[in-house]
Amino acid sequence: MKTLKFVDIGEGITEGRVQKWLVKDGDAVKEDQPIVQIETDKAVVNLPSPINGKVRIGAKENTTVKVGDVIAYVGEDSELSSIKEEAAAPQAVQQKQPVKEEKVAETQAQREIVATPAVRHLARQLGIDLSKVTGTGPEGRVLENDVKSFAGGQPQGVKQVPKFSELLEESHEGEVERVPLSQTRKAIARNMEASLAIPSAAHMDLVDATHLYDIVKKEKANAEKLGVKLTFLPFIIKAVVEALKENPRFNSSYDHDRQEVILKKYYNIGLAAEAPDGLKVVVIKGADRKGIIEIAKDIQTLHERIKDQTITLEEMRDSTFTITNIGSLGGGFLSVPIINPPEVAILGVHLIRDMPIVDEGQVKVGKVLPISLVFDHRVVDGAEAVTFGNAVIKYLEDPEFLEILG
Amino acid sequence: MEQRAFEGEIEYIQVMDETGNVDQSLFPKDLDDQKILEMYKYMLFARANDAKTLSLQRQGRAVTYAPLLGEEATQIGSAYAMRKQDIFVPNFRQHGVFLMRGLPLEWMYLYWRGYEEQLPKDVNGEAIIVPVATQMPHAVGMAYAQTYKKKDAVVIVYVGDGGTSEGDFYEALNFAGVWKVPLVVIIENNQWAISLPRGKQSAAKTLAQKAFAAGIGGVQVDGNDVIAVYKATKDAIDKAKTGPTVVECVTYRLGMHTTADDPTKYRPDAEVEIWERRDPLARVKAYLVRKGLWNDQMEKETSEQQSKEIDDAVERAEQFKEDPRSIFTNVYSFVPQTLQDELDDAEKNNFWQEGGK
Repeated sequence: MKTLKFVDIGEGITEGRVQKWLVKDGDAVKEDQPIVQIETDKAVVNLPSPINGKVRIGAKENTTVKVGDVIAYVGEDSELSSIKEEAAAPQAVQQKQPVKEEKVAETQAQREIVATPAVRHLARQLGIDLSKVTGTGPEGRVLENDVKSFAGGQPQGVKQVPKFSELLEESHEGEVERVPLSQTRKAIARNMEASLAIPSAAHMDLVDATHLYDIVKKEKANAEKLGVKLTFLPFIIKAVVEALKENPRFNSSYDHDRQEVILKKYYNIGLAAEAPDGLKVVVIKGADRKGIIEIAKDIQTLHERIKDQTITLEEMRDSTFTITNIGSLGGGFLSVPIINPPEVAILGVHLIRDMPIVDEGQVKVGKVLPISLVFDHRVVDGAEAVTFGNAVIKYLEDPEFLEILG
Repeated sequence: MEQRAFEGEIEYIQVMDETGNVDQSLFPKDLDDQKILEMYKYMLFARANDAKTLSLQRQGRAVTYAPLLGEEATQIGSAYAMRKQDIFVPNFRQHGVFLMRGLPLEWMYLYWRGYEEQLPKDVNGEAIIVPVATQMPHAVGMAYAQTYKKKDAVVIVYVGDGGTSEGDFYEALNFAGVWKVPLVVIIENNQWAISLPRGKQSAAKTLAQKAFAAGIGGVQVDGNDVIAVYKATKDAIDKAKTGPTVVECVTYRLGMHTTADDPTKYRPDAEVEIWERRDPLARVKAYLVRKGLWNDQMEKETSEQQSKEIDDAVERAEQFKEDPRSIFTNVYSFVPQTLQDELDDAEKNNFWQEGGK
């Protein structure tokens, strides 16, 4: 039996990622036959089997392997079955080990510690005895996270720098109050932090919403007969969907690990909504297949559910592009919203105001809707953002398009 | 007054086309089908050895490697034209040339594992040279030595397309031209200097024409045509007594620059596919099959026999016991006193605990 270990295959490689197994566990393979694809920061390479035999996979797909880690075993069935026992053996021994004399047990445990120098260094820094940490890595290896979570459970051992909050409470004793975050608030915080990891840029423009304003005004009464309160938003949603169809990259997600963009061929439009316990995003599913009235109804229902807090998780999931209607909050001119990950862009729509519009050299009073588009610059560039913005404007200013919808 | 001060032309030679058809008017007189068959077997061997070494590297049984895949005709054709007394100076990719010069396979495996043991003398070649084009001035010096010692030997030096942009290349050609040394410069133009394509390497239409600046003759050949390469090298060796020649072999690196490189990151698959259709082995095979000298059964048997030779050599290389003394003894052709002192010191202080004899 031979062991295929991950080695420095590219002059200075220290780790790689198992991208794809080209054979299945237990498959018979030939000497020099490529069996696994490994991605390093230099190249994607195929690693071959060292001998003829059957394969036992040692490192699963999408796991990171360090130089020296076992990737596979190749050999006879009988040899491969012994691996399992060997691998299982150390754990069994550890469990049975009597802890009569602590010193002896400790030195024995120390001998079995498997950890990288970086992890050992971290443990030393935190003043943690590695022999007391249970390793969750392959063959019981102690990982960085094991050390950190161990440290988390024993804060007294860790040298701490006083935090700003502690200093604040100290200097303003009795003048500050701690309010725990709601679950929603925690989720918002998490999402916003994730959004910060996106290198984003903003694009802003003005829409002449005169036609839009007229249509909504005209159709409002008809809609009310159907029990629907018509707003600008359904029209904006339809215009956005059309613009997304023309610019598919805005309806996608960025896969950082695989350096790919996942284009979505469904149009679920998220709407940022203020709920009693904080911001929520409700989702108009399949917005491309719904009419204005249907969308208006959806918005109404979702908002009611938000208000009486009966909204379900399902109604807040799986959006592909988000619109945040800042105008409905009653103020502001332009804003720079934050992308709702894993989406690629967000559109802010603002308060429609009477503003001067210059048309063929004449200044007249029109309805102006400011919009702002914040986009993931890894996936799209400024030029594409302008194209997308222009498409949205084109539809919102086009009386025929609006008439058809209305 | 106005008159032409210099005229020069670079010829392009192809003897065997991509389908194995031969231009009889260019066919070298000293070549016959048996010799073509022999070259073909060497090309097969070079390719098999290449695949094996690459596989060894991926398993951690070799440190690094620069594959020759696609450049077999350039290497075997030129090496086949060399005479026993001729000296060849490689860069780092001429494994095919080493094979033809009779270098034991295990030496190559050991080399790529990091053991630079002394090259057997009868190989009549220099050790692998990695720094780009530094072999060029060495080769000119060696060629000059042949004239100086009145020896009937020609030096054949290999350099890549990237190497031809180096100062060493121009300086060496200049000396070679002035001294008229018995030198053949094989430019193994495989189109890519790591990630830099030939088009960005030089604005010169051919690399062979760089010879003109040094007053040397140059020729360009289809580097995937083993007969054209043989012919051009043979002609150059034959007239080496009168001065050097530059032979540019237009070939293609089908694989990676070295094992630390991923060509898919910088060159299109479509380009590689074009060159795969110009495979240097396929056309020779087509020629030999048409002549009734070769068939798939013979190819299978030959491959099996070559695989066995390769496997045996890998085995021998892995049995190898390194001698740390070679750090001191393998620097010069003799051991100078300073190194001898260091060696004695190392032995006295038990500098190496394991592996020493």
